[in-house]
Amino acid sequence: MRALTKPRRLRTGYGSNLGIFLFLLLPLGGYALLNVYPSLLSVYYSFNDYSGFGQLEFVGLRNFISMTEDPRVRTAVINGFRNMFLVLFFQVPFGFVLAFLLSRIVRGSKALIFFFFLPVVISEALLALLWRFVYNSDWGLLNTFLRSVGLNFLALKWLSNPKLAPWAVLVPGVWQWVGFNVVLFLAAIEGLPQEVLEAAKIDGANGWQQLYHVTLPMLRGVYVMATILAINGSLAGGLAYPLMLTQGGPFQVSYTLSFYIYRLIAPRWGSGVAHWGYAAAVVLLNFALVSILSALTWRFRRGLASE
Amino acid sequence: MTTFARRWGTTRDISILRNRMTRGAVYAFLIAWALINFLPIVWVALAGLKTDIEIFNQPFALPEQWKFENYRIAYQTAHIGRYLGNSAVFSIGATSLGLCLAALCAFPFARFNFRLKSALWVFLMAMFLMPASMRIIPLIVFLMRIGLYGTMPAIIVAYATGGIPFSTFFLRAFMESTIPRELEEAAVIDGANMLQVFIRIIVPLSAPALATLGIFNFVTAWNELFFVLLMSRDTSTFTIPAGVANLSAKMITQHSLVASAFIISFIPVLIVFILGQRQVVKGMTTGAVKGV
Repeated sequence: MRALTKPRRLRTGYGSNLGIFLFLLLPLGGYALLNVYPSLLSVYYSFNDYSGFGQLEFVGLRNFISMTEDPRVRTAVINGFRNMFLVLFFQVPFGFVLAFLLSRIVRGSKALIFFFFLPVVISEALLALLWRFVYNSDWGLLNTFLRSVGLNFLALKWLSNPKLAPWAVLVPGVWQWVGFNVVLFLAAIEGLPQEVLEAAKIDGANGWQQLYHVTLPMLRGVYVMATILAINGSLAGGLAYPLMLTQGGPFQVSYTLSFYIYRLIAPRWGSGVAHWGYAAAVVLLNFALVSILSALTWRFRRGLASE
Repeated sequence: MTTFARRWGTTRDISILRNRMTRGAVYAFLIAWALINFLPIVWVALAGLKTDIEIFNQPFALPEQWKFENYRIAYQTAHIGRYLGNSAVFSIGATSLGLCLAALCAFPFARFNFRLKSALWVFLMAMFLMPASMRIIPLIVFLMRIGLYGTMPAIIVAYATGGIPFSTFFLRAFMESTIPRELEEAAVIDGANMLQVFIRIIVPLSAPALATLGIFNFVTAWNELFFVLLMSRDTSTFTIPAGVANLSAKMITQHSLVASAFIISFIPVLIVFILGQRQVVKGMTTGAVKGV
């Protein structure tokens, strides 16, 4: 009845402004205090010198200028793009291939998915421990295997060779998330309308033709989505792998942005005094790069959708 | 959902690969990748039962004497019991607090119109794109100032609030699309107020979404490294990943102990994954995909 006499403010006809306010108070208040405020403050920090104690000292753009001269920043960004390259040209396509093959078999696919997906649910830190046993140049799994099949010349020092180390700290992360892409693609493949595939079969298309002319075009949306996820997630690189495999070495060639940011903030495992103003500047660089990439991939997605 | 029902629920009626050679090759390829994923773990489990000398000299051989006490020593010297306890407290605490906050937040957005609603929503979704590292330095400073830095409750609360935008987005979409308004209207006619509607109708009917979200958040929290390492003053609040990272720096030469520690930390994950494979796979993929 009240709804007839008063303009109906609430869609469902109950609840009050006070109630709504009380519901939102804790989540939004907590979010503002512990997320929005520190994130904005971080921007301010990046124009200051701060050791973690005492006063902030305003230094203008100095942190950003020293960033351009810091070889570790350059290495970390290059390694981010290397990681992106590995993810785009190995992880996502290989995930698709595995998903496609899984969709062709009847028995055992559930057990296989279990093993494919297992690394996704294990923490990076544990897997980094595992990869130390894989990479050890004297008795590691990889080199022992290579020697046992007679490929002694390939049994290299994976973590201490400056040419190999940057790739060696990226490969575990690429490997780890293959299974995630498998499940994404498999769900999409199995969601495809069977009628279309049947029709193609009746028209005489063989397996490859079905894949190329029917399945792949219909999966473009998922492929773009997997690519966007991969691009945004790969730039910063992992933390655990550089931290636990190489400590960023040798000669600082295996730094990633995550690892460098961690190093700058946590001086207790690194070298001496904290430079939190400079750390905030590197954090901001990471944010800027991810934002630019997100914007680009969104445009790319829009372009594909409108085709 | 339907695709998963098809994969997990029913068996397909047609064998697609009729050619036996092709089928053999496909199986060989898939099994090879499964082995690449799993054999290293078995190998490390065996390394944990050897002496270091054996690891160096016969990396592929079975242990000569099965040194099960390696596992016991590793469990004790590496404080794995404490890390496991911390992991449980941190993951369960952060997940349940995060779900509560997100449910409280999603309900008004899903059901009512209020001032600044769309502005708040756009802002929340924009914040969602912010990398977690953006807030970490001022957050540490802030918690140090109020004397809570390095305490478990502070780590849990700070971590849980970070998940609010995504969880709210996920729950709002579920509430709007799935929960019928007629139920609420009937309850309101019977005299229920906003809180009663929320507790008696909205929360129970959101259970499927809360479960999916809960699994995603739990696994993410259990595996979190960056945040836990930086928000801890010392090892007393370390979870398994942080403890393992710390251990690898210390026990650099005791390979069999490191291997044992790996396996002990890995077993809980393995058990959870075996018991709830379907839910975990679904939770992890829907969680991440909706987040794009």
